[in-house]
Amino acid sequence: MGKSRWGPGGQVVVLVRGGNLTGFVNTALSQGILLWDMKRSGEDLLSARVRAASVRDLRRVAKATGCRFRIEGRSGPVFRWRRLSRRKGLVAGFVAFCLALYVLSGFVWSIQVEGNRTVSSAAILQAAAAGGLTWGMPRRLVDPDRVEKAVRDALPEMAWVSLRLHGTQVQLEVVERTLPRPVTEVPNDIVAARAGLVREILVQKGQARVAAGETVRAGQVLISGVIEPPAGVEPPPPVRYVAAAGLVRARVWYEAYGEAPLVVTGQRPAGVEVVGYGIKIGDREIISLGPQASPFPLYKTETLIKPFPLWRNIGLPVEVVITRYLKYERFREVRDVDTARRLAASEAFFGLESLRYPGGTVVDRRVEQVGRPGPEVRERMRVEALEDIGVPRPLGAAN
Amino acid sequence: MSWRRIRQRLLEQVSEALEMPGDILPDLPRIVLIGDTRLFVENHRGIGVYQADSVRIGTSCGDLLVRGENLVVKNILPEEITVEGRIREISFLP
Repeated sequence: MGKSRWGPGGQVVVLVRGGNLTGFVNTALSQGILLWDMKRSGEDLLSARVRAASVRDLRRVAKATGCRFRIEGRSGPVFRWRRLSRRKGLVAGFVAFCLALYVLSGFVWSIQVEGNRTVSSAAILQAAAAGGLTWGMPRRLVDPDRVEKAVRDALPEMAWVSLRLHGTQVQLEVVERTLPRPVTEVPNDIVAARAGLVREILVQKGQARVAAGETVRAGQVLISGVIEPPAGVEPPPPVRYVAAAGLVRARVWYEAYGEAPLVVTGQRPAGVEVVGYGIKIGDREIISLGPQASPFPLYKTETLIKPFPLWRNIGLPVEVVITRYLKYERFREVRDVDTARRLAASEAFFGLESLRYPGGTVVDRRVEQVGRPGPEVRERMRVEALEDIGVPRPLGAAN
Repeated sequence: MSWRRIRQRLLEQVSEALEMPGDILPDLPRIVLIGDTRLFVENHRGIGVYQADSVRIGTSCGDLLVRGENLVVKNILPEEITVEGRIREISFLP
């Protein structure tokens, strides 16, 4: 199309009346007047759209062809603006609204405090107010550095304060200081958790009561929290009580039994399974596929119920029930003595592992047979380990 | 035979001898129909009759009669006419 329909003057809908409508259209065309969306609305009626700037030329065409027309409607930015300019109240209201929005957005309407754990928000706001931050103040007068400093000075618990302006919102982010807790030392001894042979002793605090090479029994004091003054000092200084600490490595012994029968009977999975499916609505199972009872004389069942999740926790009251029938068989296994001994030894080993302290190292391990092999084999395992046997015990507690 | 007709016949023969497509000939109308809803006519010579059920468009080959329902002349430009509506029939009147 050569010329734009949307001229600066907009477009109008004209209703043409007359006997020579085709002459009107052809003459308009020959004069370069654009017409579009032409519709016959009656025997001698035609409606068409035309650019508002061409209306004057069209009037000449109408006169020449003996037709008459009138303007039915107008559209385009110019007409819209004209309509709007007639409604002065609306325009004034819109301008007032924009102005109010602009002016009001220049003030602080909300103050939020974040990050405080023990200090109340009210106390922080009060401290901020002393630094010049108040509700309803103009934004441009907010001085973040001054407010932050005021809050830090007023509340020594604050390690860090940050003020951020988001539009009409002020965000006061604070981090409180983590103060160390006062330590209360309870005097205690380090005593032996179990009997053993001390190999090494390292005292961090307190006084050693045993030496390397000594055998100790369970509960014996290894490092004492009572520090007695050295003899021969006059006047004798008072006895000090401390929380004893240190490392006492000792060789300790553990013993465990394990047994394994030579003949084992029982049931075990045969590796065959049959699966049955069903669909359950509410409490009723309606469709069943596959076997609904076990085809095996000896079996175990595993039932899996799967609901249909639709979205999040909304689901259909329909469930798929999958039943597995696992075939079992009876067996009788005869073991040779070596296998049974190995099994018994491993049972003893796992029994020992649960007894031992973590962090120790195994120095020696011995396995010996107990008694004669009858229907079952018994094994005894002795383990010698190097462990820290010291445990704290408050002073004055019973041995 | 009018001079115009002779000229047109000559042009047709020349374009055929040179194996040129027919639509490069001047004056011949080029008619494009999209489905039964839209019709473009290029190289027209104005509108003869316009009713809601028929539009007569002048061309160099005679008048083109478009029959249908709710016909609307969507566009009318010196080079092109667009007719929209339910088009039932297109024929040339001598």
